[in-house]
Amino acid sequence: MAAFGLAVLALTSACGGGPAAGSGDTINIGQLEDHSGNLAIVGNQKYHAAQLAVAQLNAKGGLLGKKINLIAPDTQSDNTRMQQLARELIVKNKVPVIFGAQTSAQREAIRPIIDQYKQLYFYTNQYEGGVCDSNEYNTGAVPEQQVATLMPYLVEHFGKRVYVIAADYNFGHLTSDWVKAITKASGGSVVGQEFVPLSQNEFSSSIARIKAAKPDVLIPLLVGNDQSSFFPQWASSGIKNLPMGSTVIVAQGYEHLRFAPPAAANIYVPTNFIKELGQNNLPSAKPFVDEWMKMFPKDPYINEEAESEYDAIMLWAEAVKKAGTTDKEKVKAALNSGLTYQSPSGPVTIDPKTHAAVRDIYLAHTTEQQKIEFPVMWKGVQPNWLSTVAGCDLTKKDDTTQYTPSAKMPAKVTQELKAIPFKAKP
Amino acid sequence: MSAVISVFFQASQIFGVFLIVSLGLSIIYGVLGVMNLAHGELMTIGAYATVLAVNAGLPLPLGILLATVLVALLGLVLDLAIMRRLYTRPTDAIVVTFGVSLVVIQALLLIFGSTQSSRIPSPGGELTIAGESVPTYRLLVTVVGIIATYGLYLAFQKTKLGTNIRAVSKDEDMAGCFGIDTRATYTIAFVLGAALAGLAGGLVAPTISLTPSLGQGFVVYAFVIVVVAGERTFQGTFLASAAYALLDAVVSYRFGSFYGVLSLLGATLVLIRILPGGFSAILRRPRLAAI
Repeated sequence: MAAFGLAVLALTSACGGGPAAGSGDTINIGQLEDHSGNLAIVGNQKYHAAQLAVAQLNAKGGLLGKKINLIAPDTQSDNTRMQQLARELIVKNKVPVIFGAQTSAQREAIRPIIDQYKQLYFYTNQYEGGVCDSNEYNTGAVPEQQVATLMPYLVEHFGKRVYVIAADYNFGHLTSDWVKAITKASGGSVVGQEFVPLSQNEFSSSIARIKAAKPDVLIPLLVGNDQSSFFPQWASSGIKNLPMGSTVIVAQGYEHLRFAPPAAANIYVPTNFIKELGQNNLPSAKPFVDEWMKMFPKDPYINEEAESEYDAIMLWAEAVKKAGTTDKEKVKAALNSGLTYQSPSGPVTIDPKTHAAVRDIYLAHTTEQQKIEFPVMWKGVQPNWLSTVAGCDLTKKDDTTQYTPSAKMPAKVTQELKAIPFKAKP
Repeated sequence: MSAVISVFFQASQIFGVFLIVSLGLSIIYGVLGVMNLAHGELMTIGAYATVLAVNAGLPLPLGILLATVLVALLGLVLDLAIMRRLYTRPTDAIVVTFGVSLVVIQALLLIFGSTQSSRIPSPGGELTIAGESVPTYRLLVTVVGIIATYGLYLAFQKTKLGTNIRAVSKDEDMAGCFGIDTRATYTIAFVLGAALAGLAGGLVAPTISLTPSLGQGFVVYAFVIVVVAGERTFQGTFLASAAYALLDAVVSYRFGSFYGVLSLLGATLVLIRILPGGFSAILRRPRLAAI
């Protein structure tokens, strides 16, 4: 017992000696990602993205003449731990900016803490949309960019009957609401849906339910390592060539590389980025992929969120340069001026009203052999349901609400979206 | 009608997995009287070993066999190093095996990372029976489960070793007086349970996303099945697995898989209350059960 007490004492005193932010010639920045646990498959990519961004910025002399130092504790796929570490980064390390969090449950767990300290925070996952928060900026894709592009395309090409199987938490439910609304607006209908717990890895019942509903299109919105067991089980279900569409499969969990064909064949995913985009498809994405693979040669994939995380750090760096300081409020003002960063996948501009990013979206499709092709793309898709329907305008009034699509504020497309053929440029 | 057939096939797929995961746990619990909380992790190791063997070029059945043997050997090490000190301390055994399970999960995480690409295609394609397409491999798993259960049942009834194991599990002191090496018998039972965990892991490997915690998802069901199976290791586990697979299939088909899991846990609460002896108790009173 005494030994235990001593160990605790040693630990706490070691923690007390940590460096404070901005002291001397370094700028500390914070990142909260899962390096272990059920969500580590994405968390580690985002961690590497931050390491790459920081290395590149430091190689060019850092920011404001100071080196950048990344503080990235492991949040272990645990929401409570994430809250505790968020508080620590803000109070103890006094970081000027925090990047990260993966699931919407994690983001909602730390957002009250972020807002309490008016911390500058970047959420970099693709997600269900709707967050209108003065302190939060999003570089990941939102339903206006993923669902409003995907569903009209699928209904037009494959048929009107849509089935949704989604992870049972806010992301799955809200994205399903979007899918329902946009499917209806496109002339189709959702003929069945099921929400499954995050830890589920047995899907024979779910597959039987899908079979019974006889859909033209299946929308799997499944999240995490466990739920991806759906795909190998689906592959032997006897249903052949049913087109699937998703905002997270392939682009997030690279199921097309993890499972033998045809488990992840014929899936359509609208995304801001995936590794294949940088491999002989989009010239601006090639150096990003090359430098990543040079720094992390053993990494199995670079997904949509890895690039969003990288973009967020680069965008923040641009804003710091423009503001001439890391002061949170001044950097926010610089971001709100409509700052644009030329990202590996095209221009990324912060919309001052919603703090979400206007960006290009590419439709990825997995072939029978699970190779990626890009049939079409959408240029500069606005995240504007939030400003036009929900009434979020952060330039006029501060807010911390997450608006959700409901009868009062229907999920709908409020811009003309034109799919243009994507031409690969080797 | 097609819904009934669909639910039946669904139940038979789940049944195989339930049976084979529960049986190993049930043998260890039945003979040694200890709960092995690391059972799921032994299963996980079996799954990893199978995938590595297949990716190295071995055919799947050989990979599964290799995984079974490997996990059996691990079981032997575990028994000699730890378990045999805990046979008479069932509560301590729970804590210790829980510790073992944590160590294994973290070790797998360190060695293989949070996910390992499996890329084993599920063999055999699918069969069409009565207008329903059923994955051949999943049915095969069920068949293997039934054969393993029946084979072991016969071995426990007909062979000398089986008789010894049963004798030791009933009355250790008396069995010892008759010259049975009780220590060795316990070790054999534990290794057998471990081997079944390895076999289960190998069998599910082609149908699942490979993660360090994959065994935990299965072992939750195995625990409740062992609880409601009662004292008869083979018949009780068989009946309990069949009943729970059917219940899960029916409820999941109607209301979704979340409610399937809920129904199993609910059924367990009710069963413990009205049938404390579990499914084994039904077998002991065949005439009463018939009425």
